[in-house]
Amino acid sequence: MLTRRAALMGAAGAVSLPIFARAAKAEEALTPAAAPADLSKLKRIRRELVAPPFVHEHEQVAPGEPRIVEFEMTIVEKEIQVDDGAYLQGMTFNGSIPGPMMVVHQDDYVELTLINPPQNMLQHNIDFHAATGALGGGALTLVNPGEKTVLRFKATRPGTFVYHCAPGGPMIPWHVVAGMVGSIMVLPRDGLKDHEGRRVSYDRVYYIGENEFYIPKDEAGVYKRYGDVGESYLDTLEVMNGLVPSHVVFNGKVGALTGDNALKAAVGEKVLFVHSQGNRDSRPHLIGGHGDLVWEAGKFNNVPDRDLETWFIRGGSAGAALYEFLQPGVYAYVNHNLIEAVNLGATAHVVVAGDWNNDLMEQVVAPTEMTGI
Amino acid sequence: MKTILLVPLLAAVGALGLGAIPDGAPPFAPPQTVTVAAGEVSWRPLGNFSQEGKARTPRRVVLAVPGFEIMKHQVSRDQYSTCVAAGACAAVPAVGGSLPQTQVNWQDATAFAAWYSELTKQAWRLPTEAEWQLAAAERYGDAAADAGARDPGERMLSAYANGVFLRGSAGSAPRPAGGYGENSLGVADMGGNIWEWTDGCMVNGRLAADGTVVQSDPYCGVRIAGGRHRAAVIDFVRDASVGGCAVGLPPDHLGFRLVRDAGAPDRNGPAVW
Repeated sequence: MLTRRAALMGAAGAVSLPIFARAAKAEEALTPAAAPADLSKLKRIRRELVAPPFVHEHEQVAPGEPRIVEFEMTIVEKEIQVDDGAYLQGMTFNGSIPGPMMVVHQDDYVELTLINPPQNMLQHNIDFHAATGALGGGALTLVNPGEKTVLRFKATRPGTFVYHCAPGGPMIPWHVVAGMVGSIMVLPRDGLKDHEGRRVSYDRVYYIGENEFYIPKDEAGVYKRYGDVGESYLDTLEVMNGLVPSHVVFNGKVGALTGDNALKAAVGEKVLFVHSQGNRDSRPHLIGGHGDLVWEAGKFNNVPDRDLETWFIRGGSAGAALYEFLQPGVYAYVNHNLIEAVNLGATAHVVVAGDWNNDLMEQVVAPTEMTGI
Repeated sequence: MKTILLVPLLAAVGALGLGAIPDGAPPFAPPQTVTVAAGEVSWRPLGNFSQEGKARTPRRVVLAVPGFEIMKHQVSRDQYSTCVAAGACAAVPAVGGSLPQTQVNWQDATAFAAWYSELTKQAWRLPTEAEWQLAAAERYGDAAADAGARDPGERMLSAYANGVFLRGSAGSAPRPAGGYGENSLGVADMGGNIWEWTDGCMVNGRLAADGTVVQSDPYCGVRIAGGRHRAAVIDFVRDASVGGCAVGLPPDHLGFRLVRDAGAPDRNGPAVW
């Protein structure tokens, strides 16, 4: 006889052992005991997601009563070049690493349609750290290739949160380090507030998704390239388990946010940087700038830290830093483990237009030969 | 003259430059060369210059460059590996095949020139900066901040914008010899994604009111690599692609080609062969 507990364990087992998921499916049809929530009176709004570092259009202060905010994401398995001669068998939410950032307000309902197209090889799902229950939605969203699912959750806590794929067992870390991680920002209904509770706004928001990759090398030390994602698994697992990444990058590849794709800002603009890392600790630092107000753990009910030089992003979280640019020039936004920033890739550039302020900094003596020494 | 940093390990690598030279046939076919006729370049040194205590970019001046003979292609991995096998060059990570040799530092390139000169009884050396600029012709690039740029923010933004423009589609893996085509002088692959070591040093100095250099001093622990935009790279660095300044645009790959001086013993044959 199948007890309730055994049935639940069975469902959990299916999640942790995805290879059996298809066979177990027939027994998964657990009828919810509670009546469905009646949200028929709520307004709906559909948001089209955009690829990071950009963020879809949104209001900073909620325009009225809570809404149902609809999103749609398609999972794309594809090879991605992450550096010269280095290719990742990537898994992505909506084709980008990181996945796109969603923005809603506290008490809104997030309604996500998640599509796993038939061209994909693997099962996927989504675990929202912003959601409550059912493994963040992971237990309700496991989709095989050729399936789609719709999940709705109430965004009860304001803050920046990670979402990621978590299809069970060793698939979980692999899918995450293959790129399946993104973020959602749940804004307070009346917007962000400073350390004294005064309302603050931002002129721009950039989403910096940091990912680390573990790309196997052959005997000659050359990065290996694989025919498909399945073929890459065993070698990748071995490198992953050594915990030494081959690349640490922003926006999916070395140099993705530099040159023509450098972030733009101007003196006097307030820029909100949302930084996520799904798997590993990071420590953002803006070279030549600061964090005016920093929600290091990303949760807006906490008083923001002020004037930070470097802030800490716990692996499996997203944080937010607000900064008003005061000086023109080129800034480097880095992971201040400088080995990871410079040698492994975790550097972005911010190109800031405006007039130089000699009160803040002035070159008194340019580098010159010492005399009389 | 400032003190040049000498790293003991590199001194040892340099000493290998006098490795045994095998007798008999040359280890690979003589490289094709191109004779570059004497000409003029619009020149400015690369480094830190100041004017009344503020960082400034020197104004360009016309510099006459005597003619010279330069390798048509960059030194290949196969050619470099012959030097490694002879014990005269340091082993480097990029090995095998006909691709241009990359992941070489200035010391490696210099050691190869010394070995190949000894082997062929000809005078091979790295080009000077001005020679490289003349040979690069229309492919020469310099991302220095515009001479008119004055405040630090403007200088940073100007250099960055120039670098981004010059970079264009550079990046990605090295191409086989000839992959970036020939320039108007028939020199192949100038300004591709492999920057080339020159004999030039970083220079610091002062500028006159008209922007010309009135005093300068080379710092040769940092050498100049020619490419889409000139790069100043520390002489023991083999891969600058991830080793640039935090906000700079670093070279993708480091390689080299050599100049052959006239008048060396045993020199014969046509200028281009």
